[in-house]
Amino acid sequence: MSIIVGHWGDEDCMAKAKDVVVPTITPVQHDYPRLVPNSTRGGCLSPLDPPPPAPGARPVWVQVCAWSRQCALSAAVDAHSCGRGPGAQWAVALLRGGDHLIRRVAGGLGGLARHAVAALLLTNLGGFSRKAPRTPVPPFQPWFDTPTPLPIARLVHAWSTYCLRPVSVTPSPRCDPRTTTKRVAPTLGRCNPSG
Amino acid sequence: MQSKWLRRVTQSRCAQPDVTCRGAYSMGVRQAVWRQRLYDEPDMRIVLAGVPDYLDAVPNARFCLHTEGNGCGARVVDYMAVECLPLILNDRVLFPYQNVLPWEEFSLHLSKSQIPVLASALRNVSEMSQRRMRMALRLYKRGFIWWRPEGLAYEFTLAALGQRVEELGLPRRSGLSQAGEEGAGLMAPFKPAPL
Repeated sequence: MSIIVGHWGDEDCMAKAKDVVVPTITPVQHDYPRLVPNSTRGGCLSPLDPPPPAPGARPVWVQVCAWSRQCALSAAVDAHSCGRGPGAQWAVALLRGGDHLIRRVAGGLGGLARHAVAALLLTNLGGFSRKAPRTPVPPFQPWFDTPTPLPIARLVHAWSTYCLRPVSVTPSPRCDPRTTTKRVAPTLGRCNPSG
Repeated sequence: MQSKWLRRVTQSRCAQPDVTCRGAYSMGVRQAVWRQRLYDEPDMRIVLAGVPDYLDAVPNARFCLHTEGNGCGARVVDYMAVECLPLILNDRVLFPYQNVLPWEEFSLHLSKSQIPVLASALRNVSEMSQRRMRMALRLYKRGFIWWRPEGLAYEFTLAALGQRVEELGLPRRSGLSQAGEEGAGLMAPFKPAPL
C-alpha cells in the first residue's frame, strides 16, 4: 500500500486496489491564507471536523475531545497509538454519513463501548442531517457536580457532555441548498468587490 | 496563433475523441477539446495558455475543466479549495481519496470520447443539481487543504488509509512491543503482526 501524490494518480503509476491518492500542494494551497482569506467563515463543517468546544468547557476537555477524535482516526490505520478502536469504518462512516455502517460498527463492539461509539457517531452525524438533534445537548456541568456517584461514571458523563456534541445543528446559509439560491463566491484577495 | 494551433491539433490523430493516446501530452484530451471548437461556445472560456485572472475566474465559474497536462491532477485541488465544481475529462486517472469520497456528488466526470457532447451535458445540469453539488463540495473541500488549521487533508488521508487497511484485511499492530519504538508515530514503517 502506498500514498500517491495526486499529480501522479494515473492508473499506470499505481495499484488501483491498494494505493491511496492524496492531494498535491499547489501554489494556491501554498499561499492559502493570503489567496483565500476567511474561506471557512460561514462555511460548512466537514464530517471530520471536531465539534466546537462546549460553552464553558475547561481547556482540558477541549484537549480530551480532540484527542478522542484523533485517536479514533489513528486507530483506523494503526492501533498502537491509542488502543483498539472502531477502526477504519468509523472514519469512512463519518465521511459517507451512512447510518447503516454506523450500526454495523457499533454492533461489533460490546457494552459501554458500543453505546459510547454509537452516541459519538450519531451525534456527530446529526449535524449533517439538517434535522433536529436527536438528544438535546446538556448544559455545562462541572464533573464533580454530576449526579452520578461513581468516579468512572462521572468521567463518562463529562466526556459525553463535552465530546458527544452535534457538529452543527443548523446548516449555515452557504450549506443549505434551500437557501443557496445564488452562487456565493469565496472572497479572493483584496480586489474582489463581491467579497 | 490560435488558428495555427487549431490546425495542428485538428490534424493530430490524438485529437480525435475516440482515439486513446496514452503517450501523448494530456493523453490527447486538451487537443480534442480544441478540435471540438468549444472556445466558440458563448458560455465557455477556453484559452490557449495561462489565465491572467485565474483567482477571480475560477471561483466565479460554474464548472472548471480538469484534464491531464504533463501530470495528472494538480488543478482539481485548486478547484476544490476555491469552490468551483470540477469537470473532469480523462480516462484511467484516480482522484484523491477516491476510495472514501463520493466524487460523483460534487464533480462531473466524462471520458475523452464524450467531448463532443460536453457542451450539452453541461447545459443539462440543472441549477438545483449544481447547488447540491456545491454543497457536497463544501462538505469535503477542507480535505484538499493541507494548510493548518483550516485544512483537514491529514485527517482525510488517515481515513483513506484506514479504509484500505480494512478493505485489504491488513493486520494492525496491537502495541509498542519492540524496543526502540517508543515514540514512533503513524509514519513508522509498517510491520505486519506475526501469524
